[in-house]
Formats: sequence, C-alpha cells, structure tokens
Amino acid sequence: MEEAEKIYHSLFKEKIPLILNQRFQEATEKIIANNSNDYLSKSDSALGRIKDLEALEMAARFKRRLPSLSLKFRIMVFLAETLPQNQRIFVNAKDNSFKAWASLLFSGIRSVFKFFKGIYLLRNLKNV
Amino acid sequence: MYDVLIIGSGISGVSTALRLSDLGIKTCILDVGIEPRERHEIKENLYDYRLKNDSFELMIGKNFEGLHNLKSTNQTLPAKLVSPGMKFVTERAEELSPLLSRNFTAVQSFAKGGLANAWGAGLMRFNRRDLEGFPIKEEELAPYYERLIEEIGISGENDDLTPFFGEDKLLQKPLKLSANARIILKNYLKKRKRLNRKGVFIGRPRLAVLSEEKEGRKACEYHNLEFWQPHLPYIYHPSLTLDKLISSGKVIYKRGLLARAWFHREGKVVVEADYLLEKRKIYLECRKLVLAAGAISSAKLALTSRKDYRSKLPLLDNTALQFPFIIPQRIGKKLETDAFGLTQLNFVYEAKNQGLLQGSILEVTSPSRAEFFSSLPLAAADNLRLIKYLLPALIVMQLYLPSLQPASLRLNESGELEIEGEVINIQESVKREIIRIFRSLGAFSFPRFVVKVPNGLGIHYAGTLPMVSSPQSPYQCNKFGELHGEQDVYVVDGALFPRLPSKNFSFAVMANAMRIAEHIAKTL
Repeated sequence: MEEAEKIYHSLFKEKIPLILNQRFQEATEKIIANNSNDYLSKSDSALGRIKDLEALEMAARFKRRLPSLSLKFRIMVFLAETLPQNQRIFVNAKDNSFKAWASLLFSGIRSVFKFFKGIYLLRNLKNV
Repeated sequence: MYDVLIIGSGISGVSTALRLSDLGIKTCILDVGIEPRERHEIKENLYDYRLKNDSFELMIGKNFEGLHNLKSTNQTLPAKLVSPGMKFVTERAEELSPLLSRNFTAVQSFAKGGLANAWGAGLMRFNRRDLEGFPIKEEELAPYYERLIEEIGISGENDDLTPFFGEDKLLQKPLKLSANARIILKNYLKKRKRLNRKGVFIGRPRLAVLSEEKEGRKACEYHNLEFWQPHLPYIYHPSLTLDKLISSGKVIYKRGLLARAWFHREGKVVVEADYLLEKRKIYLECRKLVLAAGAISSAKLALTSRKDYRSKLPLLDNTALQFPFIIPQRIGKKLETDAFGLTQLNFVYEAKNQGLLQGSILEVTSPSRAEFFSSLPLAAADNLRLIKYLLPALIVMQLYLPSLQPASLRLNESGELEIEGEVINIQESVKREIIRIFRSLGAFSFPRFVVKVPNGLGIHYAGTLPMVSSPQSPYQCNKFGELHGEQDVYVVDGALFPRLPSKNFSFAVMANAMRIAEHIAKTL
C-alpha cells in the first residue's frame, strides 16, 4: 500500500479516492519540498515498513520526531475535508449527546493504546 | 496638480476622502489596488454547498494557497488570509515591500481597501480612558462617528458595554446569536450584578455587518462564508465607499501605482511612484499629501523620503491571547451551520495589574474543520471524532491586551524594512482569572490551552509616526497629523496612535482621519 493510501485508510478506514491521491502527491511535493530537512527521506523509508501509521504518528508527534509524517497527516485532513463524501466525518449533523460522549470516551482509550503502540514502533525504527 | 493626494485606500484613506468629499473637495487616491481575482459565488450555506460540491478550489485552491501555513518556510497567517478567495488581501506584499522581521509577523496589504477586506469588522469608539496619552479628546472624535455609522451600517446594541464602546444611536439591530453565545450571555445575565462588581461586562458587539438591508446591500445571511468569499455584501469594506466616491466623480482613483517617496518642489509636494504595469516611475504633484498606507508602509515612506537608514521607529500592535472554551452541554449537538462566523459577543474585564482588557468571543463555524486537527492531542482518527463532536461546543475568545512592548522598525540601505519584536511574557494569573470567570458562565478551558497569538498577528499596527502635543522628532506629528518638519504632509492612519488600548482601533482611526481631513480642508 502506498503512503497516501495508508494515511487515508488510517484516518477514514476507506480506500483513497483517485482525485485525492493526485492532490495529495501534488501538495506534498509543493509543501514538503519547501521544508528543507533531511528527516524526510528517512521517514519515507520508515513509512514503507510500518503498518499502523496512525500510532507511529501520534507517538512521533508527542516525541517531536518525524515532523514530515505529522505534516502529511495534516495535509491529508485538509484535502479530505473538501470532498462531499467526507462531510459527515467532519460535521455532526444530528443531536446525539450520548453517542458523542461514548465516542469521546472510546477515542480517549483508543488513543492511549495507540500512543503506547506508537512508542514501541518508534523505538524499533532504525536510522530515523 | 491635485489639491489632496491620498496614499492608500484602506479605512483611513477612504475616510479622509469621504470627509473631504462631504466638504466639496475632490481628492486623488494613489494605490496598488489589487482586487479579488477568482470568485466562487456561492449562493447557499457553506455546509450545504460542501455536501454537494467538491470544495477543493474554494478551500485549498489550485496552487494549494489554503495550505500556506503548513509550509515551514512561510510566515503563519490567520486562516482567513490564506483561503484562495481572500489571498488577494496579502498578494504581492513580500515582493512590493520586502521585510526582514524577527519575532514579529507583519501583515501588509496592497489590496484595494487594504487589510479591512479581511477584518473582524468590530467598531468601537475610543473613550476618554482609551485616549490617555493622545493630544486629542473624546469630544474631538465624536462628531465623525455618526457620519461613519450612516455610511457603513453598523449592527449592535447599547447594553452593558456602552460605557466602554460609547452610545451609538443609529445602530441596526444586533445579529442573531449562535447557540454557544446564547448560553454565555444567558449565564452572564443571571449573574450580572456579581460579575459587574468583579469588573466583568459582556454584551453585543458593534459590527460593520448589516442585520438589515441597506442601500442595495443584503443583510447577513448566516451562510458561514466569511473566511472564503471576499466582499460579502453585508460586511463593510472600504472599497464600497471608494467605488461610490469614484462613480460620483468625487475621487480620482489612480490604481497600479506604488508610492516610493515624496519630495518638495516649488511649494508643492511631489510623490514618486512606480507604475507597476509598465515598470516605470511617475511623479504626481499635490498641494497636500496624506499618508494613509497603514502604520508600516507610511513609516517606510517617511524613512525612504528622508533616506534615513539609521532611525528606529516604534511599532505597536495589540498583544493577543486565544482562549478556547468548551460548553459541555453542547457536546454532541448538531453543528450550528447557520451561525455568523465572526464575533458573537464582546467581553470587558478590569483585570488586577493589567487594566482594562477586552475580548471578542468568536463562533468557529466558518474556518475549515481541518484547522483544528493539529491542535488536538489524540491519535489522528480520534482527533476527527473530537472535531465532529467537540467543535459544536467550542467557542474562542480572542483577548486583546494593550500594546505592551513596542517592536522597532528600521529601513536598511537595500530598501527593506527590518522589524524586530520583543519577547512578551503574559502573566499566568490573567489566563487563570479569565478561565475562572468563564467557568461561572458555563464554558471551560485550561491555561495550557491558551495560545499567545504571535507578535504582529493582532494586526492592529500603530505608533510609528505618533501624534504628540509638541512634536520634537522628525517622525512625530502634531494633533492634526502634520509630520514634524515637513510642510503639507499629513498622516491619518494608525501610525498616529501613540498607544493602543485593549480595543479594536479601526473606528477611532476612521473618525480621526475624518477629523484631520476637516483640518486639511480648512488649510486649502
């Protein structure tokens, strides 16, 4: 699975639409080309090996490592929001406080798990 | 030769031209005058549009303008200034006026109408307390506010904030409040006496936003387009007045010209400008020159005209803090997609040791949801769930502090401006005190979530050519905006303000420009 697909899948659990993939490639080229840091190539090679990019990104964000990975997630979120099919992921269209609190509780627990998994993945990354 | 030549078409330049035209004096405005290029005319609510359409061109843009703040080499700009539709406001600024800045982000505009194309539209009078240290009194500005209200169309209410913002008689009814703002206001009204005793006051903002139709301009439609579409008919921008003055023949508008310097010749003031289209210089003569290019550009003109590469001028801006507040009872509610996307309420607080502080309580329905993604602490997919369920309960207060430490501005021999900001430390006690007040209003936050807006992004630039009672330095003005040691050169913009209270200064800048215009008319 290529990088854009992995990032999109970890965010939305779906296959990336073709148009979004193209836009993502173009955007990362434009934005990351301007960020002259040598960590980029390192993180790119790391991305190929890791399956749970979401966990890796979270841990890396907290440890201030692999900034290009977090940047790619941010780019993907900005681009994905522009597609009509993703609106319901970003915008709550119905009142449902119980579902919201339950979802927030679940997200908190899930994130703790992702964080520790990410720390483990980060430790095992060589040369990053 | 022109009687009066004004440099700049922002709020101060247009207010000067308006007052002069009221007095029967024709003026010339010299301006770069960049206008919006691409227009996505959306006739429906942003969220309805996005459900049906791919909004890539609206929100990101073909050249990925909307991702400006993700590039580490770029200066961070407010989200509103990077959307493709609003990009024209800062277009070509780096090329036309290069800056070398340290610890200060200076936002410059060469657009027709200036930075007010993307303003928050808050208009409040300066009262006696705000004008401490100024060589003018509240009464001297008072006559011009009503003319401005008549011209602009201001919505709001005379309420608990009247002692701070002044009493305005011609206001349109206030805009509809969002559900979050209604909760805060309701809780404030319940505890009003106790809060007032503590020095806390909350009320409706005075906004240059129509709640009722005016002269063919539609009233606010609550479509959340404020971040995306320029020149919405219900938000005032100076080009509205300027176009009216041009079409009635009261103003000659010279567009595509970048003023570089002025000099005096045979009793006249001559302005040297670059004609940008043909890359040649032109010279315009006038009897009176008015600098209205904004505090930074007006200062640059003064320094360039004197070929002064040594003097350091002070540059003021309001220090600003952003407080995010969550209203728990709103968690999981449907996002209120028909809210007004800017200021809902104003907050005034007499803080111990800090004096009077003022804040704008903002609804966050207009910016893209992705803007919030990187500020959230969870794993990426979980952050999306926070965006969905938490953001309907989020309201943000932008708190303005008085200008604390001025930055310094200098012209170097390459013609670039060098701006150096100071490190500003905010007392933690102020954050804690304000969070405590909002907790009593049903809105919750933590001091660690409070963000200090980077120096310069208050975007209330002032103080570079201040007016004082007895000007001594060549970069000071008298109370009529006359630059010391120069004949017939006047400053009318924020550069004149010797200090900035904790308040949006736009209305006072406009009224002051009209006051100076009246003085100029008398001297012609």
